[in-house]
Amino acid sequence: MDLQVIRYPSAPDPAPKGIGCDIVLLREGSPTAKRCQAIGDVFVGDTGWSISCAKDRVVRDIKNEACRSGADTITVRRLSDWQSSCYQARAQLLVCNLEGSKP
Amino acid sequence: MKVTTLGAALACAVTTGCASIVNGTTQEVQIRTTPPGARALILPEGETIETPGEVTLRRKLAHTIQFDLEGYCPATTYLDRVTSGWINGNILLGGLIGTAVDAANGAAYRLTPDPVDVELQTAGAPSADGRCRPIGAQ
Repeated sequence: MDLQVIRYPSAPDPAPKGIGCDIVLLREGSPTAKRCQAIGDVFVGDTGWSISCAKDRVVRDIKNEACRSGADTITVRRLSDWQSSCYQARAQLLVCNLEGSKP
Repeated sequence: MKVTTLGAALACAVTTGCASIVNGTTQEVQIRTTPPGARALILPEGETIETPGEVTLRRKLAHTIQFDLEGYCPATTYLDRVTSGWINGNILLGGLIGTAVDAANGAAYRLTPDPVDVELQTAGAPSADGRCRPIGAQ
């Protein structure tokens, strides 16, 4: 798998969190996600030789990347690519400060 | 002509990838907004253009484009990387090396959508936390 992180230059730069931190997964375009601030995004694509690229693995890797970036929430959109059997995705890294409230 | 075709087929199979020859490692992408005149920041390159415009981008990377125009809410859109049909030329000609070359240099991919068309929303009164809210948004 090819995982690429794009950070937004004008966005805040929160402190990194430990791998396996709590990350909330929201539906793209949900009202809660709209209230959050995007700090970057993650692209996960097929290298042509990828083997561990099922949805669970991809989402786990995105969550780990979100922890490293200091995000607390992500939205994930699956990319359509009929020539690949891998789950390819684009995820937004968000800071929502949802702790203590339900997303 | 036959020699050229044979040469390309041999090159696909042996020396380099089909997609590298036919597709190239970069793609010219048109970026347009309604209204025009927005500043488009292309990431991860950090290149800035004014819309409408055209940029040459590496196929190997996915890109994010952020738009800014006075009087309108900022917008973000994505240029995703998917597998190009030209990669199949390697499969037909049995070029495992070619496939590897195309994947490594990015020629195996195409960037989508192309052209990029974004409609910017007129800014209304900002929300309580100071964010831009389009006119008509609740």
